[in-house]
Amino acid sequence: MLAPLPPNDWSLDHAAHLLNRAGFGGTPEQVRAFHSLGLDAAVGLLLSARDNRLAPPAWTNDPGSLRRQAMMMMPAGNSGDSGPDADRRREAIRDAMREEREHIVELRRWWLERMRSGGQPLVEKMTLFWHGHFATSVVKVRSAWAMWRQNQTLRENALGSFRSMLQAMARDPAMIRWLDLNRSKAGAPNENFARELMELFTLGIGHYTEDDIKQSARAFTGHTVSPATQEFFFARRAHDYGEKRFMGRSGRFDGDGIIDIILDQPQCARFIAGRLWEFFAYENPEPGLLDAAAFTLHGSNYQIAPLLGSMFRSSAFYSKRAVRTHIKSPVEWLVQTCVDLETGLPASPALDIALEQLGQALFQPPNVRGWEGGRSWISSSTLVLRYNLAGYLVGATDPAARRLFNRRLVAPVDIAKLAPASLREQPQALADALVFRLFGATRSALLRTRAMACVADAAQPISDTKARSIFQRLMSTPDYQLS
Amino acid sequence: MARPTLHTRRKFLRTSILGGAVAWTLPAFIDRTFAALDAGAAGSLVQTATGRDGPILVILQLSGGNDGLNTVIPYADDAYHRARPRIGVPEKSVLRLCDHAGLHPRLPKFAQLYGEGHATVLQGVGYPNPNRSHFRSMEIWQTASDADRVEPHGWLGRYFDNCCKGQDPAVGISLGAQMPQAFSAAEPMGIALENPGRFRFAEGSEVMRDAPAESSNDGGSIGALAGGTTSDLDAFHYIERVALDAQVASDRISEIVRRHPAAGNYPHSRLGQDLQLVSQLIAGGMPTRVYYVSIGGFDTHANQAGVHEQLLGQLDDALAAFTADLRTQGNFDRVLLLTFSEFGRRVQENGGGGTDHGTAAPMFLLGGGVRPGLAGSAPSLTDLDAGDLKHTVDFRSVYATLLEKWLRVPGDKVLGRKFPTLGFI
Repeated sequence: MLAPLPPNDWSLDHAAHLLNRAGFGGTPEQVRAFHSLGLDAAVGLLLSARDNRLAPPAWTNDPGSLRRQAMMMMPAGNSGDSGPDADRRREAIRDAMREEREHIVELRRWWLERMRSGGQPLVEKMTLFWHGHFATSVVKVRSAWAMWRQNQTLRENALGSFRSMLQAMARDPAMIRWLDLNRSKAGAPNENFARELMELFTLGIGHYTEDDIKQSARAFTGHTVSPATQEFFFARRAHDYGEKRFMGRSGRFDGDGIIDIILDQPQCARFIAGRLWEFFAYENPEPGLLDAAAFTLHGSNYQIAPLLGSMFRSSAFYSKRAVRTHIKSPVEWLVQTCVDLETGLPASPALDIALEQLGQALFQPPNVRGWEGGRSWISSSTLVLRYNLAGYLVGATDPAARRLFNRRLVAPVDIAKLAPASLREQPQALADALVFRLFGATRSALLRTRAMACVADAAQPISDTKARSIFQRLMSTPDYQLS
Repeated sequence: MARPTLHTRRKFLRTSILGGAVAWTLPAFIDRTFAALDAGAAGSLVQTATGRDGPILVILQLSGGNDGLNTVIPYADDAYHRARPRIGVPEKSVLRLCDHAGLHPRLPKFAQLYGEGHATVLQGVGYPNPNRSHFRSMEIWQTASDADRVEPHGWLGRYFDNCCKGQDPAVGISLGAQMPQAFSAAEPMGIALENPGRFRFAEGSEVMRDAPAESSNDGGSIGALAGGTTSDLDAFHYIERVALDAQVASDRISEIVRRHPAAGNYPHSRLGQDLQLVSQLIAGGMPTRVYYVSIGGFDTHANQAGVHEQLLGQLDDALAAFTADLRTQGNFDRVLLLTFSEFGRRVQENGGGGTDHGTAAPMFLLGGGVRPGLAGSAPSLTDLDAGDLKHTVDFRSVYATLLEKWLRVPGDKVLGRKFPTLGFI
């Protein structure tokens, strides 16, 4: 059991911290309202909030796109490479590929809008966690529809049973293509999925043998995708029904049998609890804390919500090791910036260019391990871009960013609301308001002093343009990269 | 707005960014760097000695596990053709290096460079107790650790730490938005460069113009609010340091890119473009010792033949253009490029026309300073370890050779112990 935070300690700063980590931040009004609930109810609200009002793009229901899918999956250039038929076919494939690219752009925006709207912040944050955990890229899957299906599966299981999640991932069309399960058959198993299942999805390196990989690869043979429906299909003729030796047990295991044995290992609970702790709280958690978190996860038969609830109520989650030590991922940075500035997401293609350049193109993780996170988000290249983008989003005069993106692509910021006239004549009050809005901190003397120095730099009176510049400066700091 | 003078810029670095308690992060190179910039601004463009004369190492990472056996092909060995009935390269199309090994047919330009004596092919490179995880094996290669030990810093990071103290942060440049683990160091060094056109802090705003000159923040916004420090602000200091390095390097890089327009006839591939930028920076006299470039897509579990051929083709075209360009510049003799991948692939092809993760593989070394030819011995295709090749050369011997004979620093200081050096330099 993780030691809980004493209810009386629950402060505005804690509320802001919880919203930043379990969701994508909040405006000052939202943080105050969230704080007024009290810790227990605030966590309860995060765990229970559901909001599916933002509907996915229409093509997700379009069977026509499935036909195009099937066509793209066919090996090119087998039947007659010349003649009008081949030309038409090539042109159709080109069109289909262009459409796929457009669909992925729409899908990204749809998901980011869900994060931005804040209707179910924890579900969307956990979906982002699972996307990094079961990192699958459209570059190999080549189907926006399959990526959407996987995204929905991750969302549906986001706070539920990890066992159901694993079973669903072993049957997920995008995953099946991504890790070559569709090319694995009895007699010639492909080890790609079996290896990553243990190394990255459940146990971590060093907790299985090369023979465990070979044996379990046999158990997942037959998991494939139906060309007609693009849905999971169990190909009996490709499945290896023979006996397998796996982690000290023998039997005619299928894929679910292997998943059950993996989940029996205490290491699996420890691994997943550690991944969650690092994502939400801080890196390298204390061993005792990890034991407690793993115990909770194992004891609830791998239900995710109870573990998250005890994490978000724990005192460790609000400790010095946790608060303002997390380097925001590009998605967190961008969505949270739009929340902080109470503005909409930039239009395409600025949105896509920004996230790609910052190093986190959704549906396109660099490899199956997902994004490294932490310090690897910050390099000289990405930091320059973050600083410049901050100026662009807040509408400060900013020639370098203008070269990058067309100004019309950015939603306007209501600077009169963010920096009200009533505060502009009182530098310390303005600085405090900005620190609360941008850093969720009311108690940090350090941040207040820094912000005050910045506000004081601007001679009175503070025009709208100056106010935007003050925002730009506060956001172009190491502090703003942290949450 | 006129660009601020270098004088105010220097003052800015000292006062606004690094004021107060964080001044300890101020590296010693700053004065030297700004002295060079002052000279550049005065029109003389005096380069520091390291920028024009020193040896340069270009590391080219092939991510995903390049199939070594279909790159350098043991065409005369029946075991090769038996193990690869579908994806084996037929003997007649192999580009022969000798009477038993040859290059993949999609490497004709590299074969020509090899023939002209500009390249070494080093066979059988790996390490004891090989790991078949992409991530762990890549980590082993990047940190030069033993397979059973975890080393926090990269081998090039340790080179920066031990041998380049106080130098310009651009002593290492990685092409791409992220830094390779090989660069990670106790004290962060190195620059990640994705797009030189965008590698500029936005110019100042009204606040900056209004402020008195003494506290002018011409960099727009870097960490302008420096203050005290607390023990839990490690991430903060890391970011602050990156911001400072970026500020210093972006000045220099923009200047070089402006003065030395892209030359050469490079392919449009990402690799081609990256190598072109490396060549531009070399031509401009960047004080960079190590450039890091990568190309991905080598994890060929299924339907390998077409994909692998295409990747090797990209590699071949880019290496040829890079070589030609450096020779025109007159810098080919002081540049050494090497390729590596986290592992080779299994000898036996799998049921899907691909190959699974394996172990040892060849490396390419390219440059005017290499002793050309086929080096190392090719692993046996019949004496295998669980279906995989047994390495004949430890990759840390390659690193030791590069450190001692090319960068001319003591290898054991970087690698932790002595590894025998090889004869390829």
